[in-house]
Amino acid sequence: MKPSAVSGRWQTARMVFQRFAFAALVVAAFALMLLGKADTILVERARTLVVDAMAPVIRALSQPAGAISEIAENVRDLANLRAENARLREDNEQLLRWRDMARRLEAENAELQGLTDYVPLPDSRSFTIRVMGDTGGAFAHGVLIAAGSQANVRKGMAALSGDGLVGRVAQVGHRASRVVLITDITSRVPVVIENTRTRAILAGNNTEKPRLIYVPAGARVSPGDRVVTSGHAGAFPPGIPVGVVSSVDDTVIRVQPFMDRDRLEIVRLVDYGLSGILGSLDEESRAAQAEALKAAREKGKAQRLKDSQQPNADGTPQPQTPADAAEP
Amino acid sequence: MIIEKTFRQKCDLAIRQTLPFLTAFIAALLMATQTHVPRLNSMMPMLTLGVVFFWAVHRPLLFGMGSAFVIGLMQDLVTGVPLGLGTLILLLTRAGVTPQARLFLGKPLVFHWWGFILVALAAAVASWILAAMILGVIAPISQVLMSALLGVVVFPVTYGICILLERLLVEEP
Repeated sequence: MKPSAVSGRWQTARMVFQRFAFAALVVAAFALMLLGKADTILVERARTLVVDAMAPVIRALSQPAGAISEIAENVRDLANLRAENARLREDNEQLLRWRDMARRLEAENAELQGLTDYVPLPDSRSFTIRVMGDTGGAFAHGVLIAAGSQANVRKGMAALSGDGLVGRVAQVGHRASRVVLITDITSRVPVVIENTRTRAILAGNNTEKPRLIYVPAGARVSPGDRVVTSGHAGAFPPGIPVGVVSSVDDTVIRVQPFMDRDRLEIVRLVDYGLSGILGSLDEESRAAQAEALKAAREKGKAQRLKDSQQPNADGTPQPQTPADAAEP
Repeated sequence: MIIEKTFRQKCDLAIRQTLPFLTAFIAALLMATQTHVPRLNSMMPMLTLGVVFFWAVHRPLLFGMGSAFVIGLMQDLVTGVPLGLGTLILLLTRAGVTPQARLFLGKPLVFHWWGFILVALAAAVASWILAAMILGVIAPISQVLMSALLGVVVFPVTYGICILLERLLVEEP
């Protein structure tokens, strides 16, 4: 056989293989998208593994930007030293007054709690961790922190900065973890408007200003209102500062978070001992959760049956609720 | 006459040949670093796309579709975006740009830049649509377009670094 013929066949075979490989890889990419939707636990494990392995490289790559930022910050601080000093003196005076008031209120609170047999919230444990990366982009808002299960980081822990709530720990690796920010499109935080006690959900939308959703009709919300966690759903304890209402119009209420993502260098992880909506998703826990849910459903069904059989004061049986009618 | 390569020469060659993959790998990790620049982290420039574009034009044999797939997958896993999104975009970029390579080869940077503007825009729109389909919610398109625009702005730097690395590939050890 002539060498040119062999070479031609080889080229053709290679082209066919390349075309097939392209189609196979495109199919694989779509399969990954489906897998990401279907098996979140597997994907989460894969993400954790990769982030864990890449943590030292990301940390090393982040260092030059951190150093430059630090120098810029120092120069800015030097320029503003005098003004900053005056402001701090003023703040200090104000804080001293607040301290006196806080001490008085603390004593009064302890006394009143003693009188009413108040059950306090569980003790929290916290530690501070350096932020090593920002998984930026338009489709996800999160930061990588330089600690994992080695440092007792647990999934579902609240991440706070000096200003307020930052987010929650979503993935825990051995040496690194991922914190999903409250501005992420998947983030939902039960909150309350501090002065009116109006409940709502803070929904991230991948912008700097998340929205308030499920606000009750007729609720009074105005710009400048403080938003704090409500403590519902067991995700976060009540009272953690989240942000202030920045704008209110007919359809959208936007909140300016207290945390500043661009200046986030250190976060405080707090374990309030709340299992919350992010409780462990291992097989055993899921089975236990399913069992508990089934038992509760059975109990509810039995109770409703009992109620419907029990006659009213006039002797007619109680009407069924639409939910009862819909129950299979 | 056949000249047998020494072990050192073989290692050197292997390292040089993985340079395209390594640069794309570092670009993908750079997308996950913290910049401390206000608002930049929510619209990181499309660095990886620029690198993949360059190697798809200049060294398609050293940066195959498998490499684009692996880099995209790793970027998706590290940055936390929906899995498969970046993978598909980089894969399509590699597959779409290489057949047009002769339009860019030997031409000045401006030609590459124009080409990349089109690729970045297409990638931004495609990823926005795909993300909306996967997440079930619509992310603000302005941030995706800004990310593409910043990628276009930093492209000359990406191009310059890749050109320097490409020279290493052609130099004899």
